[in-house]
Amino acid sequence: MEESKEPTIIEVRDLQTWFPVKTGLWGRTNHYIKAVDKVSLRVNSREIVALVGESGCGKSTLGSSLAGLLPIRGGQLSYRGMPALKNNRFQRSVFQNKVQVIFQDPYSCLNPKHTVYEILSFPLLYHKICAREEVTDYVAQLLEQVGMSPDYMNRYPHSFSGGQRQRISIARAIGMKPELMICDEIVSSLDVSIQAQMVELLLELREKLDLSLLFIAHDLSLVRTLSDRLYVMYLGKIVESGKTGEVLSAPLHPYTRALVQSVPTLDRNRPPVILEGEVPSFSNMPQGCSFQNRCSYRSDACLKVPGLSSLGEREVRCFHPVGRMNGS
Amino acid sequence: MAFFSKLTKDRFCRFRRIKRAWYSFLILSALFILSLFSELICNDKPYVLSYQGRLYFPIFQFYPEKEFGGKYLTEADYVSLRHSSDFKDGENWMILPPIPHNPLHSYIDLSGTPPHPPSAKHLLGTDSSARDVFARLLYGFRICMLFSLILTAISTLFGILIGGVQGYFGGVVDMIMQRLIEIWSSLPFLYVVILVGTIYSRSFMILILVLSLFQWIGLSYYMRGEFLKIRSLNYVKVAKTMGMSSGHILFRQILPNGLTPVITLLPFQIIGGIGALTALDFLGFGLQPPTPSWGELLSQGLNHLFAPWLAISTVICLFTTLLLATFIGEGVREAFDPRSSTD
Amino acid sequence: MDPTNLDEISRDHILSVIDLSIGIGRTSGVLQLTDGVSFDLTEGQIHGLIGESGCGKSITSLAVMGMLPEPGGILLSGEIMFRGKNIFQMDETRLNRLRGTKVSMIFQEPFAAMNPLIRIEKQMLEIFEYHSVDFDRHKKIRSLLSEVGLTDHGRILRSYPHELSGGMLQRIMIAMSLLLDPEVLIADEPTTALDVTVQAQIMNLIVRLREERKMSVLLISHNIGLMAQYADCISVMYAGQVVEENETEPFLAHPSHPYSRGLMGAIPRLDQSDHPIVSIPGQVPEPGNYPAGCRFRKRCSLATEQCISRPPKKTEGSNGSYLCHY
Repeated sequence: MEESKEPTIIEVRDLQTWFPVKTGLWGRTNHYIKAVDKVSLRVNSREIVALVGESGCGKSTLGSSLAGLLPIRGGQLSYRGMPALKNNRFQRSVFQNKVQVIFQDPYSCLNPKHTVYEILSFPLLYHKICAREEVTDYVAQLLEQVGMSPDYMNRYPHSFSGGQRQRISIARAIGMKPELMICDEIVSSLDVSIQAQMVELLLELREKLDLSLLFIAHDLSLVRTLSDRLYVMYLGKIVESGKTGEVLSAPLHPYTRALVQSVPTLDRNRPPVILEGEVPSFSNMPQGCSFQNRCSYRSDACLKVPGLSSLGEREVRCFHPVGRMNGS
Repeated sequence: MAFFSKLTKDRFCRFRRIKRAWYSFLILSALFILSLFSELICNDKPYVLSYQGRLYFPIFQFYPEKEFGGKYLTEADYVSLRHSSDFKDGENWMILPPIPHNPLHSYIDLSGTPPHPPSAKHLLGTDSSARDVFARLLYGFRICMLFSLILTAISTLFGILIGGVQGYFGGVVDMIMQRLIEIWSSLPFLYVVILVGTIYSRSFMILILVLSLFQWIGLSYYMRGEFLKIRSLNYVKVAKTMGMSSGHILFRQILPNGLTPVITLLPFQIIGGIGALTALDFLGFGLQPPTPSWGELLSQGLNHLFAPWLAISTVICLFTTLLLATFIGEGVREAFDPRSSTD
Repeated sequence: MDPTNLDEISRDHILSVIDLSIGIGRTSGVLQLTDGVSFDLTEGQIHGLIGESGCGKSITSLAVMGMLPEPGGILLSGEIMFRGKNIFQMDETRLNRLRGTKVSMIFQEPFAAMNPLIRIEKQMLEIFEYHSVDFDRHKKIRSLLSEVGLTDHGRILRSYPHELSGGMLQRIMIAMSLLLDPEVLIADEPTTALDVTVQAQIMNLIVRLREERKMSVLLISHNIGLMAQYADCISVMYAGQVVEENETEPFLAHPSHPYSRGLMGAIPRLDQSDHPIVSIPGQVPEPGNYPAGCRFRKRCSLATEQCISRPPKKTEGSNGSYLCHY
């Protein structure tokens, strides 16, 4: 596997975001919820990287941590090689607004008291992205780029549908001329046909604006059509990663395999395979590999926490992966 | 413009559709505006007066007694002037306001002992100091409403400020401020009012000042809650990730959305203000006599129960005002109820 | 599905929705939400109702329980026959008996459907308050919990809703809906709020219950994959109308209506890597703003003059029925 020649936009090494659980009379910290536990990932220029997992796995926490909204406990975060954490404090200025975030719920992402024009222009004027005289034209341009008519500028958010609001959020983000957009489940609450439109839009923007995306989602089928590379998370850890097509067609980790097999396909001859059990809560994780309670390949070795074994671009965190990693 | 968004206009339309609230609003506003011109409605000074061929406008200008043949330079007493032979003899006339009485003037020369029952001259009779009751009610209404409105304005400002800071910063700041507020609110405000009133004079402004020190607490709780809630909404988070300053986030993102409790509470704060002043006046710790006030009339009414017109007229006025304000409050609350939006 | 079995029972429609049109009264007039919706449910069948938001599927599902949208819901035309009796002609008492004992419903958000302040046991017992039964309630509750795959009865019954996971709550909701042994279960997006692994578990459960109890299921979802795997036949709804109806396998092989075809083209496939998704341009029209003629024509690549002037009639064929000129 040749190393990617594209420069790395954002790199995360062993990132930890832990939430303290305070109990007892004096509120002493009893233990931590390790929502993000030593996660390493990388997004290169013009790449669409997906981060998948089920609810509670920590992917949204990771997204919010990278946006600087949650306190980071440890690890390294760098933007184009420049460290963005100083004493675990998030240094937003390092990113220079080149990393933008879009959230899931379109109904709470836009201030209901602001017009579309105000929503889009505030950050532009604040950060002096463009001059005051040019703002209206620039806003019109942004709206067109996301497939909306500039006439919508003077309307308020409540007159738009979910899909349109997400487009406005995207327009707001691309107005800052970012290099990376973190999309936290942005299409999950939209209709299927609108999801397809949004995917087309994102691919178009990647081409036109040289954008890279960190796409956080739980829908594997969507991720397959959209992303180049994929990270799978389970209980705060990355359990597998690699090129999307390879991971989804030949998953190595038992969990990834179970996920892929659970998705109902259109092929009636292949019914979904049930993965029994439930995700353990963060407060009573099993000793060792966090997936062992539900794993059919479990052995005694799994009582220790498995490390990440990698070959080229593929990584897997398992003592006995279900396939063989292809060397090349 | 952000403050008159379609949402606000919708709510206003909804308010108007609630007939009871809208008419109450119109009536109360009309009465209040009317009372602002009390001097023109209810005064013992005439609008215009012709004396010895010259025109005078006593309501708008000060004329000394000497002008009209008196001895002193103090203001002319138009009541006695009207009845003086000197005036009646010549071709002099004066046009008096509809209610030709002053709330401060004691008609001690009326027959019988005050309080006098209602008659043709005094529609609602006089109080225990022989002052016209109607005049006192009208001027008292104005003072009541003005007091309440100013008090509400000041306490709203403080409530928004303090509650907003608490809600926005949260954490330790919120906790410390909350403890301080709890200590402050446990002070018995009545005693403080009495104390301050005794040390300094019991003027309009001092009373407002003292009461406003306590009135904002209720609103601050609401504002704190609103700000805490809005702070965790996505559009605020997005503003943070876009590197917007705290000032922008506080004033342009959160504040316009957090003002809903202010508007819904406003009518009830006004009611509270009216009630507070009336109660203080009733106990004798409010405005200095002889300022016309409803509370004082009420206390007179209580002391002179055999003169029911005092108590009854005041109670009816109080009841009507509070009722109208309550209807307005209910209407506002219903119009702003997020659940009843039909779009 | 055993073909002979199906033949026997298919004469017997346990539930028939006939030409259902529901509107909602607004100050500006009546807004029509569904238009001539018809489909049938036979005994032991899982009928899938697929559509996106605004197509009227939830309103239809509530109507099957005899509930019209509040406030101002009006039945404009049509009937819903349950075992030959029109639901809308039933009085309150018979309707109440219908709900729960004959027709039962589960919803998308299990957490929102439960009272957060009352323990599970009490909430389950509440079902019996309106329907008198002659069996041991507690035993029934426990046996149903086992039937839905929950073994730790004591702990679950003592818990509050927020102490349990989404998957468990959905199972409990299914158990609650089965307490009175209904013949029809309406599942309105039962797994949309759940993870894909839990979704597989719950759907498996529903299918098992259908087989064990010979229950009919009206499965409402926007997920075609779910329909493909679990439904016996599918009705596609768009803008208040049923635009296509067919048995599942033929439907998947040859969708007839342009909207169905558009949907199939727009959904991403996990199993096919080189399947570019093609979106359907435009948006679903709002009730009241439907275009004249065919409601889908503004987004349809096959639209012609005919589609504007004449609303399409239902075309019946060997391929099920669909609402299109082509």
